[in-house]
Amino acid sequence: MAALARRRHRGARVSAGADLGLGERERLQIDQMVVTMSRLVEDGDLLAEGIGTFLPTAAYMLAKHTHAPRCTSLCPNGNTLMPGTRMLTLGHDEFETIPRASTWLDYLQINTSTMPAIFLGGRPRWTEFMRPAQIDPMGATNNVGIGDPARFRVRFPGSAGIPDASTVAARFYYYAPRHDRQLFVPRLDFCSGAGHPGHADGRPQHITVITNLGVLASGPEGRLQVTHLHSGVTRAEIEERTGFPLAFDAGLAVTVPPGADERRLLDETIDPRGLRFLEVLSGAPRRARLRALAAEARVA
Amino acid sequence: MGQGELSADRLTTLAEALGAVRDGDRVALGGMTLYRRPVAAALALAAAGRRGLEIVTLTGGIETDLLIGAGCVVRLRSCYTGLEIVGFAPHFTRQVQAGTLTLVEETEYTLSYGVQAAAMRVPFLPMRGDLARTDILRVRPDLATFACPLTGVPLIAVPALPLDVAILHASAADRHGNCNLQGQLALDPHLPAAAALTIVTAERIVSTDELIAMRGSVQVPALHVDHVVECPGGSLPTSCYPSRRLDVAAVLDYADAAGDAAAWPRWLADATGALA
Repeated sequence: MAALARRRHRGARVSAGADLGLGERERLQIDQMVVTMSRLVEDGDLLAEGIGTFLPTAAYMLAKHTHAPRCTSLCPNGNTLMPGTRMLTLGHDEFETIPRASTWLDYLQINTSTMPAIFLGGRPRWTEFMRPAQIDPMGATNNVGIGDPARFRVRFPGSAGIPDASTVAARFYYYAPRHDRQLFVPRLDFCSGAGHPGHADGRPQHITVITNLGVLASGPEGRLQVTHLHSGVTRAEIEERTGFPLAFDAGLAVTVPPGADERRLLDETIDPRGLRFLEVLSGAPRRARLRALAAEARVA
Repeated sequence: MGQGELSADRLTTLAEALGAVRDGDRVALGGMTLYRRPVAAALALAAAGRRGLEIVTLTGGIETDLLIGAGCVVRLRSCYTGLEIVGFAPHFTRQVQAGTLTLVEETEYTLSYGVQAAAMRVPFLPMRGDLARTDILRVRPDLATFACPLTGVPLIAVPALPLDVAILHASAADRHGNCNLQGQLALDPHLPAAAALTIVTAERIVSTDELIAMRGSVQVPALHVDHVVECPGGSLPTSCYPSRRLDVAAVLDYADAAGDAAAWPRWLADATGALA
């Protein structure tokens, strides 16, 4: 019976993938990003989630299922500290996190009592992945707008807590499902996430960016350099899709691809509806997929 | 700050409660993005034709965007305004880009500190000076930098943000205004202390004893509350844990209507008409 259910379920997943208009390479890139983020999690970390940021949440759940079972999630939707794992939801996290929370906080408590020490490097170790709209060569980011700040040509929703966290944390992670020249720019239109300060003020800071092509991290002078290329990605491809000259780390490596067990956990246990693929969809295909998922949720 | 005895009956109608809001008021909206938002109250403000409001919300969602679309808002303070997985908030995006809405660029910390300072009745709270590593201070000249009088380290004075009105949607309340909140709490427990007037719409009205037995008990005491309105479904289409989940399809419908100049007046008329 279970085997039958699983087979039927797999059938559904394949057709959902076809609807998404994503090829196997794009799907693999997404799962590569998830497992790369998951492997950066250490057991016991406090894992700060975003809302609707499916890739980091999938990565956290994968880490908890595999090498880091003692991590606790800080779930912004409900502001709860939640041990254990859960399935990704489309906007219904409160119903998963609150009944299982060890601690339930409001945002003033979070911002005045919980996070200040943790951002500065207190215990437990804090891990969070943010998604920026622009990144410059020093790893500074923009989530505010494009154009003149006096009157942005394109206004983004906003930077939320990125200015607060990025300016004090010694270690900061970003993720970028679409590595291109719109994202990696020589100069930001507005800085809402602090970059590496260089040698100037002696501040220890390390910024890591996980993209669909590889991994970039602060080099010795603070500039981002490529430390890993995902399997099948060339130096020429990542250079061509970055809006500034890239250096490559002397120890440049190929990312270890997702294992069969990791992909099975993602497909069957953590994210059977493929919500993580929403992060690479835009425009009409994204809207159509959301409509379909919302209709499923109403029936359920 | 609530008037009269704690045991006073503060139960009233939506129209009467919202009638206390004046044009030009600074109004804080409870909840967060798409969770436990006072949507019915926002629609009532739109229906009443309020103008010149400054909206304060940690993160803005459908309740803020519809007020912007209805022409009620001149200034917004938030650190994020959008429809999360559904995408950009159409009216917010269009009006900021057109220059018809002034956005005060907040961060999670600046908004939290401003509300706390107002509740404490101090002119500012100090924040670490590290925010100067971003461009936020360039667009927020009211955030003054100063040297700590004790240690000399650079600090930022975050001005108090006193509110004219706080509007919350509570999971449950009693007739006196004691509130129980569930799910996403956002800044809600702290907004009434910073506000001159607090209006609560409640999913249901229960006895004080029932309220005390709920998870979290009373998080907003009646002493801070002026008006309570029984308003089942008052957060729709946003969530009201534990009784109702976010209705993603309805948020998609909203985004489609708000992004279409012909469809928007119909959506707004239908939504405000449904209040009556």
